[in-house]
Amino acid sequence: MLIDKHRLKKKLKGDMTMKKNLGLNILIVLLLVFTLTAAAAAQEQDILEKVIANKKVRVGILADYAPWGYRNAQGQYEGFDVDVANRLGEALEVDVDLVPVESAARVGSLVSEKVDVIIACLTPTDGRAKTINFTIPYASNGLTIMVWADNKDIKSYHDLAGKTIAIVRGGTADMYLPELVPEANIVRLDSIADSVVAFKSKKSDALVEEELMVYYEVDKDSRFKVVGEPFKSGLISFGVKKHEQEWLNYLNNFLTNLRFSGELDVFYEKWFKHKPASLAID
Amino acid sequence: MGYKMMFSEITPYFIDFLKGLEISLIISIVGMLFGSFIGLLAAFGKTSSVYIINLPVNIYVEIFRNSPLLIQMYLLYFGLAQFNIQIPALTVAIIALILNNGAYTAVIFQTGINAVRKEQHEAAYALGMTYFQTIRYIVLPQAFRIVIPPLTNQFISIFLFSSVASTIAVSELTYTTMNLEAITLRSFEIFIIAGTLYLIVTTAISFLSRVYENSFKY
Repeated sequence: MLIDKHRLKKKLKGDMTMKKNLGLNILIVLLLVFTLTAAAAAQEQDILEKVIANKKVRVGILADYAPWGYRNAQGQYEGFDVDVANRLGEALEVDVDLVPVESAARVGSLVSEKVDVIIACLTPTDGRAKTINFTIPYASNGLTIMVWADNKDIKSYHDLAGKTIAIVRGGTADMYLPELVPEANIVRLDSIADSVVAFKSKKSDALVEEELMVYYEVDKDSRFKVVGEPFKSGLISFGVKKHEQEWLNYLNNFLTNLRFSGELDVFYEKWFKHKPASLAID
Repeated sequence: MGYKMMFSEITPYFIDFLKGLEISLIISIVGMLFGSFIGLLAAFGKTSSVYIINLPVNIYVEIFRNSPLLIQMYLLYFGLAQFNIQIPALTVAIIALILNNGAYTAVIFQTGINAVRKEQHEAAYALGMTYFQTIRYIVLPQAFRIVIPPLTNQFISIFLFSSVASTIAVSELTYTTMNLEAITLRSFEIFIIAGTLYLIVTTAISFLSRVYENSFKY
């Protein structure tokens, strides 16, 4: 490589263009530092303060999971979780921004701060609790099996061995079925809607989902029936990001009040045809 | 308030990544081979002056080039199931890749064939060669050299688009990746590994292609 002596001298001495460039560079660096520190400073606000300041709470809901969260014929979100979310907005006196999330993305969307809280039929399993925090429960649910009404083979989850079951990734069915029924052929799909379509188009022999959703589907469509009792029952709670104690405290308080005042029972009876399962631990 | 990266949690699952990669490679290679074969035939069909051959081939190419692979797979998998035609997921993925690839390679081959100058055809005619002899000994060897770079691109494209098969639950690399992400909840680590595996394969394909191209440069 030949060295251009003339250019090198010019560089070392510096000229007007060099000085202008230097000034511009310093300005850009200062702007960047300022933006970054401002962003970092903004991070110091916790979620509760941020929600109140922005007058908006972003709630992650399921959009294809009637009657918890779904789109009605007018394209608006409806459901048990949606009612609870709107009630939360009233309590906070802010607007509610309902963000549809896929089952597998519920936990991830909290960690990556895409939503402030998840109200999406989320079970507070011990495994998930290592990554996010859960509030006190507001419902409970167990896995239930839905089959075609003329199906005679499947009577309980033991009969799922050797059958094909399409489930959604990231839900409780995904967590428990592989260990409960290792001989079942489990196919994981991206969304709940896909798993329902797979069942209805006979790609899978049974649909395994939380009981309240299954009972709702069966009530709507007499081509299907429920078999067996709900298994692997669990609670349902809100999910929040880790290290947000103030926000968690607020939501726990909100849910305690909601349960005590009886409003939660009202929502429950509006959406689910049976009596709420007791949330008492003892 | 940092997010600690824990690759150690992923290492037990590395075999699953490799198994997924194997399936991705298999469906991409099968799709590419059979698709290119169909593409070559379709290229001749497109340039044919016989209307009965020309029109259906053109319709096929336009449909499969201008619609998303995802839609094609969903139609074959869920769509046909509504009419009680059940095709297993892996078969659907391979068929969709072959048809899609066929349409794209048809255009690639067509360009390659047209790029061989008319003078070559005239010289062959003057030498008394039949149409098929011209194609086999004069046109195809030259066209082949021209189409290697776009075909490499197409192969890389097919390999990367094989990830769409994950939506119909074919156990290829992306499907495995999504499942592991749901199990371990370590999004960043999981996707970095998957992305790197795809990158390694595509880089290898590009490199091999360049070596092959150089081997017959004059």
